[in-house]
Amino acid sequence: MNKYDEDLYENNFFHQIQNQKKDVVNQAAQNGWVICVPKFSQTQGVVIKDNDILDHILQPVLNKQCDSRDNFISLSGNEACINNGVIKLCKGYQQQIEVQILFEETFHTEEDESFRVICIENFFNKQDKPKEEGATPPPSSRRLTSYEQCLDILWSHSGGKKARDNLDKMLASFAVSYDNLEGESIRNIADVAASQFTKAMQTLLKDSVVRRSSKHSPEYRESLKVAVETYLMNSIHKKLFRVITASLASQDAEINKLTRNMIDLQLQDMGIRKVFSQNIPPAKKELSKLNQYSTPLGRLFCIKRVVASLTRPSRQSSQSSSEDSLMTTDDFLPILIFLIIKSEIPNWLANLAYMQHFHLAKSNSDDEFGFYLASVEAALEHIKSGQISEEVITKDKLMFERWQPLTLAESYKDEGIQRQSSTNPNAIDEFFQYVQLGDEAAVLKMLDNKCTEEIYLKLCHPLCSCDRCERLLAKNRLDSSLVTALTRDDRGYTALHVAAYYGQARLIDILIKYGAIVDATDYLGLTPLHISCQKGFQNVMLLLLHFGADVSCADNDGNTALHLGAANGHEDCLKGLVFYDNKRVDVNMKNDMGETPLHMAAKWGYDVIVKTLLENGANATIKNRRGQTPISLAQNIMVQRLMVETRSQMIVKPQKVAVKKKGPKVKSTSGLKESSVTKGKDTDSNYSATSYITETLHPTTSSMKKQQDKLFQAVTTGDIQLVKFYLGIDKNLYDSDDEDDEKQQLHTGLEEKLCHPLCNCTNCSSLQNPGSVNRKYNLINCQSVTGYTPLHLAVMNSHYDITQLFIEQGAVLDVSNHKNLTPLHLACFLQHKQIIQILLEHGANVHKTDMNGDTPLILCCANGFYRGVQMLLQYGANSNHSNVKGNTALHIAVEREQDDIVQVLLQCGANPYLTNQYGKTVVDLSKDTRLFPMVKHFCQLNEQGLERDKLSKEAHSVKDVYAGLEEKKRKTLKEITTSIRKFDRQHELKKTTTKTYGEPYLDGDLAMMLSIQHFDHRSLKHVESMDRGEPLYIYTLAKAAAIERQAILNKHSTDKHHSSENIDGCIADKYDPSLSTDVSNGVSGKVSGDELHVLASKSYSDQEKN
Amino acid sequence: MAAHSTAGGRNYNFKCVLLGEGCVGKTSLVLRYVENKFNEKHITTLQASFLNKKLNIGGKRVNLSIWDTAGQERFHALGPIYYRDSNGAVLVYDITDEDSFQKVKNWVKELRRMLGQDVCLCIAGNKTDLEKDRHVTVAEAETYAASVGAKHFHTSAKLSRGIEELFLDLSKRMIEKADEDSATKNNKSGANSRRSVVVVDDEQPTQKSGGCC
Repeated sequence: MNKYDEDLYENNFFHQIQNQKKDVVNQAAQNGWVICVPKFSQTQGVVIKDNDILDHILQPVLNKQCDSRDNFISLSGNEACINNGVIKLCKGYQQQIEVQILFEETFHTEEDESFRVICIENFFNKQDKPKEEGATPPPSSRRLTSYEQCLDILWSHSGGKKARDNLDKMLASFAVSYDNLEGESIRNIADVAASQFTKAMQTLLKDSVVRRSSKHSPEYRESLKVAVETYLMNSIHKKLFRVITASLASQDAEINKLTRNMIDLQLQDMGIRKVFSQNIPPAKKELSKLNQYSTPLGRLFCIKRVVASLTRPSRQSSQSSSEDSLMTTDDFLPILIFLIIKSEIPNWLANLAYMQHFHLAKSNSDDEFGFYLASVEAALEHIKSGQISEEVITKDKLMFERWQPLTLAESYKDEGIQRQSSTNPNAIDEFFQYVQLGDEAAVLKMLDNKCTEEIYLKLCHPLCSCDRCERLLAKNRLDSSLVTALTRDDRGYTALHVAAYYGQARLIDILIKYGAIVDATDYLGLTPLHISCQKGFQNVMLLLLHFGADVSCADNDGNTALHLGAANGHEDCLKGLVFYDNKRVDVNMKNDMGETPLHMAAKWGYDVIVKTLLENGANATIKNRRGQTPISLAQNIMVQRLMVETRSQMIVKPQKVAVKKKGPKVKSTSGLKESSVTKGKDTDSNYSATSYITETLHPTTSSMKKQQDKLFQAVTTGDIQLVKFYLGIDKNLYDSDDEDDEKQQLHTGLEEKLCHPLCNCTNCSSLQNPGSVNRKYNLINCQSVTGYTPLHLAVMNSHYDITQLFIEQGAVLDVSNHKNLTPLHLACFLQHKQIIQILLEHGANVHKTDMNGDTPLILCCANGFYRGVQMLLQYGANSNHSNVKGNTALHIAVEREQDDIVQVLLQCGANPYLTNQYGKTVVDLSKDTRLFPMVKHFCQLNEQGLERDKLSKEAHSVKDVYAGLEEKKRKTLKEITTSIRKFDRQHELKKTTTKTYGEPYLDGDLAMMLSIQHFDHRSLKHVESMDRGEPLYIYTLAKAAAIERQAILNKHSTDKHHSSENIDGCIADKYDPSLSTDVSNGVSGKVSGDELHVLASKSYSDQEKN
Repeated sequence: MAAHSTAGGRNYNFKCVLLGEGCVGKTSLVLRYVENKFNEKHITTLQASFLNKKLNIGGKRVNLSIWDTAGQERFHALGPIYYRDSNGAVLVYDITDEDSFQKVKNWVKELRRMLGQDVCLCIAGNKTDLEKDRHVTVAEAETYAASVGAKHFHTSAKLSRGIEELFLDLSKRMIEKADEDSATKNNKSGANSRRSVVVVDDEQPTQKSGGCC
């Protein structure tokens, strides 16, 4: 850059050569002579003589001993050489100086012959005579390098102040409009900026002085453009660049996620040659300043400096390796990719766009920038394509395959041949390779440690101690092929680390079964959980969590798994961690740099993660060591806004936010938890809360309204096929007789197929298919204007099959309509036994009241519906609930003279002494009726055991009540008890069903949280984890073995000829062969003594606690 | 970049891209051309992926920007970023390597598809110093080149053979193309396209070299 250029045809000197020395030019073309031409300004007013010309025409000298330089001899016989951009004058010249080469041009004659013309700074043979002129080069001819220079050129002339004021005014008015540009495409923003630039130029050129000098000097014009751009961009770049960043935020976040996950990329992975490695750190340093430059030009120069520092010749390479140190694009591109990945710049695309489209003062010499920009673009494109990680993986695999045949051949070798560990791959490496590739069978085989057993088979006798047997045993003890789940590699990784690193979820289970430590740390303090979060393997992470991995464990830099997940942009892992157990995870945990996970997510622009963290109580105002809050770190304006909003909400009404954000989640989870145990009132609040959420979250659109009306119509007419169609249920699946079973099978089948409720790998997401599910559940729980759900309608029209269908499809059971009637109310009113049964079985709330305060029980009593009363009481209906008039069910029943009902109610603990609005008890009411004797009798009965009844009224089981019934009811009683038994069983069965059906129409996050918490932990085999490397462990084992040995010794006390060692072997053989290896080698193989384990782990954990 | 115009003198600014498989000697070729160096110990600038060369062809000044590209197969997809807006392309293959010639064919197809007839093509059969190992026959290469409207050159960066001719021919054709374009567009071609000729302003040539206020 900053290259001098002139048209040589205008040059006096060259002109003269061309005109007067045509023969010389021809000779030059034929013989490869070089013509040196002093620059234009030097030749002015100088009389050029013939020998001047001869001095400036150089002939190449071939095969001189010092071949390191391009040596020449001038036509006048003087020596010169060209090296490194200068011409060095040697023997013969008056002054032996170095003359700067300005540029070189190759002339092609019409005969297609060529000669070189070099434009030089001064004459070779003249004193610095013209220096006066060139000593003070006009500022305009220099390339501007600083902001001050720009200001100088802009305002130093007369009238500059006025122009500046005008420009400032224009900029001020324009800066405002940049806010409106947000969300526009880059192209539009660039156009706006360009028009702004043009306007600025116009303003400047109004000044006559500027106009004149710019007309006369193109250099000045160029400089002026650069100056204007610098001034313009310097004043608006903050806003402008933010707008650009915002419009590219999501793409940048994508790239960031990719680069973060490649952070451990090595130079060799990219195929970068060693020669360049030492130039990379300074280049990296240079690149890290990129965001500090305000103008596009500044950033371009920054990139140029990066390239320059990359290509700086290294000190060492001046010797032999120099021929390789030439940096071609083959080398340059990988290095650039590497630098971009390693750079800490979170907004590469925005930077690229800024440099590409907002460098407005384009000039011809920007070709080089164009190339660098294209290279950066190509590098980013390559990163985006995701090929790099693939390359690395395939490379790993290739490496493995390369030596695998060797090991296979090895294993066939005779056992007796000693292994040469130096040449053969390590067994540990092999084991780790298997883990990496997820080869379950191979891993199992290696862990099972077959050879131990084989050796015992080869011994003469398990107790034999002859030389041969001893040798075999000794060899086995020293055998390097022994691996355990605790083996570590040169990074301190255990097999569990490797499995987490490569996402081998199935191996996690196996490894832990073989005693791997869940929270083992490598040299950097990373646990497998850290690694799984770093790599984004959610399934591995969840498995580790279920095996009790420590969430708050920090690595050597103080990073928790949450930090790593946030830095690498793994939403799924992060959500898993946050939702898994809110209490245990501290989202505001700081690392050694004082950064919270929110800092990291904000910096790299992962909006979803930022949102998740904020919703779970992350604080956006925490400062890191550098005093930066997540808000100030965020490049992405959307993310920034998100955090600012949350903060302001917290400040203005902290309570409301807490209720809004935390309330429903916490409440409903606790509600569902309890509901799986007892169906109390919590369930009620839970359902109402969630139904409220679904309603508000999915406002009904007009198209949905139509769909609703159709559904209601179908329900009213009882057309189950049509209903199924509207709900999008596959007929074939549900038309079979054993609908229930199939449905359950399907559901459980789905759960089994899913890796985990949270998992959203390609497999699972297609299974979950949230789109159709949402549609279905939305429709099934929709409400008409009067608050009726399809379920209400089905019950109202006594369509048992449709009711059943709705319940199976997850309809909310306890939705109230505008009269506060639930479907259960309607069913009781209509006295539809079957429907009541199914509603109750699926957990319909019996305590709900309608607008008159009537519970379903009161309704049944009013209708004299004996069977209904029985069922409701069985499901825990409160017989003493009073409606708005203060009447209990008993009041109503007595009033209606329903003697059987009255009897059941009284037996179920209905209190006959409760008064209604008019102050009347049941006893008072019954006085006028024939029921009075019965009530009276019951009261007397009760009075005797009143205290007891009062205390344990609720605890009375239905069975107990019926035990005291009279003879005449015995027949009904029998029938009912059997049915109770039956119902109870079914109840148990259905309970889980209710739970799972209830889930899907919860708010998405809630459902996820619930499903994590309700994820069947039993399906994950729990394994006691312990550190078998712990000396205590061996000690316990040894102790246990010693006891055993003592016992055997006692037994064989007479056989004195057995040595203790042989006894050892005997025990081992008899009880557990590998146990003895455990004791002797201090490493574990397959161990079956469960009790010993428990013992060991207990003592170990005690030790830990202490 | 200042440009003092002479009567009839024109400045051209061309972008020329080097394509070809890795190890066919693209970089050697361009280095030999621009720096007149081959595998030497004294390379002034180590950076060889972007080079400039000034030419003067019959009074027409040409500034040639030569963009080298990465030859590795994994970077093939990035080609368009490099060759867009280029006026000329030099497709290099190794005469001892049949595959590299196949690669050239692929590149030609791609270039024609993406840039149409706007781009001038030159095919260079490099490493003619290794004639004895030749695997791509002269006839095959030349007929292919002719069939796609490209010129074929036998080059050797090591012996500095055929390279200057190659770039000279390419430049001439690019000048022709540019003249044609500007003629058809009736000098309308604005500064928006790189492909256009940089027409120097018609101001009176003032000899004052920018004396400042």
